[in-house]
Amino acid sequence: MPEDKPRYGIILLSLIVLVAIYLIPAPEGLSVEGKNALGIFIAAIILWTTSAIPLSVTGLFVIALLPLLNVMSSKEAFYLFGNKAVFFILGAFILAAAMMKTGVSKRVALLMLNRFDGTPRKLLFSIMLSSALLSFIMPEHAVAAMMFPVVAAIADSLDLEPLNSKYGTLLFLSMAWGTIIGGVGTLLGGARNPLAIGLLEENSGLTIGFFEWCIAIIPITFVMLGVGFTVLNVFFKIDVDNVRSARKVLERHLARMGKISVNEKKAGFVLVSTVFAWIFLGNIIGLAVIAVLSAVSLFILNVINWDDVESNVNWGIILMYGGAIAMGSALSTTGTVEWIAALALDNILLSPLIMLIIMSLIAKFLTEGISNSAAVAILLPIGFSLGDVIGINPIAMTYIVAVPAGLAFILPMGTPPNAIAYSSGYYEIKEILLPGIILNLTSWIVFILMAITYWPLVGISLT
Amino acid sequence: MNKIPMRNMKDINTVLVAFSATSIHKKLAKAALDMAEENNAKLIILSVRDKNVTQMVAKVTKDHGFLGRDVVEKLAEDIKKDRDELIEHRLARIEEEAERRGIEFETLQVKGNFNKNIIEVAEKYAVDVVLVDGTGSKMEQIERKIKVPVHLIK
Repeated sequence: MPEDKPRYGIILLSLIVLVAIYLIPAPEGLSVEGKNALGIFIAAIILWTTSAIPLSVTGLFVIALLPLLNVMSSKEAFYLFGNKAVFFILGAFILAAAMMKTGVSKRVALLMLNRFDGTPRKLLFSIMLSSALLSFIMPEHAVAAMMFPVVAAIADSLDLEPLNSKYGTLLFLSMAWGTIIGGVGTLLGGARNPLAIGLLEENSGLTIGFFEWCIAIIPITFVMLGVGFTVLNVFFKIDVDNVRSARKVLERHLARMGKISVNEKKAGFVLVSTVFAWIFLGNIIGLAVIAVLSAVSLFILNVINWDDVESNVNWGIILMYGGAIAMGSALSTTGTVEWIAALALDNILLSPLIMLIIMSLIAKFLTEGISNSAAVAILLPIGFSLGDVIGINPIAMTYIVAVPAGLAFILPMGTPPNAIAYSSGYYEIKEILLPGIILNLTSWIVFILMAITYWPLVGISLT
Repeated sequence: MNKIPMRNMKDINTVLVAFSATSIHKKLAKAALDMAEENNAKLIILSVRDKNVTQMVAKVTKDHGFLGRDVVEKLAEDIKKDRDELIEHRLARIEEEAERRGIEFETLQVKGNFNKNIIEVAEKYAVDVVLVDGTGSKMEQIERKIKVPVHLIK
C-alpha cells in the first residue's frame, strides 16, 4: 500500500497560523500561555481535519509544541501523554487483537447470524443486530472488517446483481450501520469513548465508569437500531424471495473454523472476566489497570505474542489520543476554553437544551468528514467550557459530544465501516445520501429525546 | 428498448461501450447490445478500473482506526478479490448476452483514467459510436477529442 505524501500547503498554513498567533499580543482576558495554547489548538484542528500529516503525528507535534511555546512544562506535557485513558485504549486494543487472532469474535458472529430463521428481512436484522452486539465488545472497525467476507459470501450465494440489487445494498448497509450504532454503546466500540473520558478527567476530575456508560447509552443504541432498520427498509425494498443459501454459507464458514480451539476459549474467558471486572471493580481499581492486567494475562496464557499484537494493532493512533488529551488539558489549565466560551456566548443566551441540540448536531456532521476521535478531541474541550458557562454537567457534555461523534452514516471517508460497505460495489454514494441524511437526523433526534427523557431516570442530569 | 437518436449517425460497424470501476449498469449494457444487434456491428466492451476502491478503504481504515497493517492488508485482499469477481461477473453477463444474440464482441479491461482510455480505444478500433453513463460533462470531454457520437445512457 503506498503511503500518503504530506500536504505541504496545509502544513505551511497551520505553521503560519501558529507563528502569527505566537507573535501577536494576547487579547484582553487571555494569558500569553492561553493565547499560545489557542494557536496550537487551531494548528491541530487544521491538521486533524485535513489529515495533512497522519493524525498520530499531529498528536506528537502537539506534545512538542506545548513546552516549546511555554504553555506547560515538558514534564507536564509528557506526563499527560501517559494518561489512564491511553492505557485503557492500549489494553482494549490488545484484547481485540487476541479476539481477532484466535477467531473467537468471528465464531461468535457466525453463531449469532446462524440463529436467524429464514426470511430475507430477518437475515438483515440478524446482520445488523450481530454487528451492533459485537461492537459492544470490540472496536467497530474490527467488526466491519471481520463481517465483510461473510456478508460478501452471503451476497454471492444469493446471486445478487451489484448496482441493481437492493438486497445487496441492504446487506452491506445493515452491517455498516449496525457496527456504527453498536460502536457508541460501550467503551470498547471506539477509542473516542475512552478518549472522551480522558478529556473529562483532565478537565473536571470527574469520570464515567464502564457500567455507567453502558447504562447511559446502550438503551439509546437499541432505539437507534430500530430507527436505522426502518430507514433501510423504507428506502430499499427487499427484492429477493428467499435467503436459504445464506444459511449454507454460514454453516460452511462455521465448518471451516472447526471445533473451538483452546486459545479461543482462553481469549473468550479473558474477555468475559475483563468485562465483569470493569463493571464490578472498575471504580475500585480503575479501568486502565484492569485493561492492562487483561492484556498481560493474554501473554501469560500464551494466547498471543508480541508479533500478533504488532501486526494487528496500529500503534501510531495511540499517539493521537495522548496528544489530544494533553491539548485538552492545556486549553483548560490556561483558561483558553473559558475565554473562547465567553467570546462565543457574549450577548447570547442559550439554555442547556439548546446547547445539547447545537453541540450534538455539530459533532454529528463534523464526524462525517473527519475522524471520529479528531471530532471529539476538537469539540469536547470547547464543549466543557461552554457547558461551564451555561450550566451543563460535564458528564452529560461528554456523552453529548462523544456519542454523536461516533454516528457517521453517509460518507465512506467518514468511518471505516462505511468505506468497507461501499467497497462491496452494490451501491453508489448518491444512492445512500438521502437515507444517510435521514438516519443522521433521526438518530440525532432519538439521542436528544433519550437524553431529555431517559437520562434523568438513570441519574444523569443535563445541568 | 432504450432508443438512441440516430441523427448524424453514419453506418455503425463498431460500438464501444465503456464502464467505470464503480458502475457496470444493466441499462447501459442493454442499450449497447441493442445497438450492436440492430446494426449488426461489432461490440467493444471496455471496463476501466479508474478508481482504486480497495486503496481508498485501506487508507480510511488505516488512518482512522486501530487496525494494524496485517489486518488492513487482509481486508484489502478480501475487498480486491470481491471486486475482481464482481467485475468479472458483470462483464461475463454482458458477454453471455452478446453470444446469445450472435453479436461479435471483444472485451478489454484496463486501469487508469476513464476518458483517456475511451479515447485511446475509440481511435485504435475506429469505433463509430461510444456509449457511456455518468455526467454530461464527461460526454462532452470525450466528444471533443474524438469525432464520433458519444451517447449518455442514464
